[in-house]
Order: sequence, then C-alpha cells, then structure tokens
Amino acid sequence: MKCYYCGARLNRTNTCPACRRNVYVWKRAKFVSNFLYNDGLELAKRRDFTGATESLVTSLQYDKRNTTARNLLGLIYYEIGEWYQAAAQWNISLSYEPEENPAAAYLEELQDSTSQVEQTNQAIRKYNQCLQYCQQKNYDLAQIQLKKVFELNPNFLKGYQLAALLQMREGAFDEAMNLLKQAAKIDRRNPDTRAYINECRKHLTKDGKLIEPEKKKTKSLKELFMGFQDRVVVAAVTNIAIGVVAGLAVFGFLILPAMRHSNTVQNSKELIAANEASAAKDQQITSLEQQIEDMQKQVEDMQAQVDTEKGNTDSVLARIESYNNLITAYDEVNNKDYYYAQEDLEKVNRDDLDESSADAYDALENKIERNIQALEEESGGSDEESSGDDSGE
Amino acid sequence: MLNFEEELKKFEPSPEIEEADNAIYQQDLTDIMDIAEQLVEASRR
Repeated sequence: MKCYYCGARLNRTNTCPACRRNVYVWKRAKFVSNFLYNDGLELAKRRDFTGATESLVTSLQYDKRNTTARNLLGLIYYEIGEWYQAAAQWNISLSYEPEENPAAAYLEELQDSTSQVEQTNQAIRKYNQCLQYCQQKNYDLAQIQLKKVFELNPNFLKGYQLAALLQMREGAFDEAMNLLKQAAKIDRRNPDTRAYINECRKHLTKDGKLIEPEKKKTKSLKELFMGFQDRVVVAAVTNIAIGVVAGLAVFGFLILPAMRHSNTVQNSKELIAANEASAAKDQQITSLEQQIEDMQKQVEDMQAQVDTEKGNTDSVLARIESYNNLITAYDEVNNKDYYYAQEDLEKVNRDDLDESSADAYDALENKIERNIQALEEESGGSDEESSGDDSGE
Repeated sequence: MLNFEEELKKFEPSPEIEEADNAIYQQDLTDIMDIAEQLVEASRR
C-alpha cells in the first residue's frame, strides 16, 4: 500500500515513513473500499449486477482511485448494455492510473474500429429515438425501434425492461413476461425487472397464459354500435332514424321558434295597426259626438227659439183673437146684440190690446153693461105688468 | 398496478461513446478522503 500523499510504501503504522503524515483515515477508507469491491465481485459472479453496482459505487465513494473497482463497474455496465457508462468508468480509471491499467484494453476493444464505434452509437441513437417515440405516444414505432436496438446490443437490460413495459401497457402480459425473462438472465435481481414480473404474474395463469377478463354483462355503447354496424339494414334504418331525429331537433329548436317569432312580430304589427285604427276611430267618434252635441244644442236653441217664436205666435194669435172678439163685440153692439157682445167681450184679453184698443174695450164694456141693465129693467117692468094682468083676471 | 407514465420517466437518453471522454468532468468524483481533507483544512482555520 502506497501513501495517499507522497506515494511512498507504507508500513503497519498509521504514519507515513516518508512524509510523516497521518494516514489512519486513508487506510480505513481504503480497507472499506476493498471490502465493498470484494462484495461487488461476488455479486457480479452471480449476475446480480444491481447489487454489484451498488457495492462498487459505494466502494468508489470511499476510494475514488480504486481502479480495480472502477474497472469492474465498467465491465458490469458493458455487460448490461450501458456502453456509455462503461466507457466513462474506464476513462476515469485511466485518468487515475494511466499505466498498466486493463481499462485501456477495454476501451480499445470498444472503440477499436470505426464500424464498432458506429454500431455502438447507432444502438444508442435508436434507443434515444425510441424514448422520443414514447414521449410522442407513438408506441408502435418505439417497439419497432427497440427490436433494432436488440440486434445491435443483445444484452441491453433497459431495452428489455422498456419493451416489456410497452407490452404491458397494451395488455400483452405474456409477451412482456418473455422479455422480462431475458432481462432477468442479464441481471438476476434487478428491482425493476422483479416489479414488472410481479405485475405480469397477476394477469397470467400458472402456465404463463393470459387470464381472459370477465365478460361484461352490459355492453358499452361502442360495442353496441359496432354490433349494429354489422347489420347493414339495421344500420341503414338506424342512420335514417338518427337523421329524422336530427331533423326534428333542428326544426324544433331552430325553425319553429323562428316561425313563432315571425308570427309574433306579424301579430304585433297587426295589433299596432289595429290599435292605431281604433284610436283613429275613437277620435272620429269623439269628433262626431261633439258635433252631435253641438247640433243638439243648436236644436235646443232652435227649439227654444221655436218655442219662443211659438209663444210669440200664440200671443200674436191670442192678440189677434182678442181684437177679433173686440171687433165682433163692437159689431154686435151696433146690432144691439148686447148679450152676444158681452160673451165676445169676455173672450177679449185686455192685456193683449194696445192703449187705444183698451180704451175702446172699456167704453164698449160700459156700453154693453148699460144696455144690458136697461134691457133687464125693461124686461122686469113688463113682467110685473103681465103678472098684474094675470091676477086681475 | 404499475403506472406506465411514471415508469417511463425512469428511462433516460444515453450519451454517445465520444462523450465518454468528458465523463471525468461531468461526474462527481468526491470520495471520503476528499471530505476528510476538507474537514482537516476547516479545523486548521
């Protein structure tokens, strides 16, 4: 064992005989690193590459210059198809120990020929392309690409896991199980491989065949539709029915409301026109009623006027009658028909006479009274004479 | 039940072989001795 600081050969003490520095921590770290390397080697021999990788990575955390552990780690990466990781570890190993390092031979084999390098890169590129297809959800293309990767890199562990995952996604658990068995041959105790295998076993029988899912009692709409499609006549009738229903729906939701709206608008317009006509009629009626009132008033005025005139006419007639009776009484007085004259004079309304006629009436009345009185006196004297004659006999 | 999308995230693209030469600059190569050295330096200050 050489000193960590100066490279001198160490003894059993914890102090370097050359540089006199304390190498206790370094010795312990070196011891643990070697212990873990041995553990990783055993696991690698059993093809438990996952466990071996963990041990070797931890070993290098204790001593990064443990080129033996690093070279073995590179070999494991190479074996599981991680060629980039393998080349990286060998390059680092060479950087710490350029002389007498097997990593140089490993790298030379990996990068010796151009065709080998190209083949390696092609496998890596196809794998990266496959991951892109998966992200784009082109899973069929991803599976095709993975098959090409396996041709170039038959021990690509992650490739088998990815291929199995794609098969499981489509429900092909039997195919996935075959791929996972390939992966388990490469790395026996890989945790991802085991998890996928456990998942596949849930869907497989003991013989490795797919467990058929329980028949659904009720069919999905899609299955019903697909069933209908098989029957041409039923499909045609169904399509026609769908078309009729669609047409009715369009009529009911689009055309009918539009028609109703149009009728409503028309009715509204007619109603407005009718209201306007009615208003005009009302106005006309009001006007006519006013005219009627005016005319009635005129009639009443005229009637009053007529009545007045009639009254006037009656009074005129009465006056005429009075004058006629006065004249008649005057004539009868002249004819000495005093009694008739008195009757006619009584028919005369003195108020209807003018002043001179009224004087004439008064004079005539006095004359008629004197004359009648005279006649009555004469008639009384003659009666006494006749009654004396009757008694003297 | 496995989640396909979650499992798919575990698969990352791989660099090409030519880029392996620069791996020494990309990886963290700190070991316990480096940490011990840092602790000693810190204690000396």
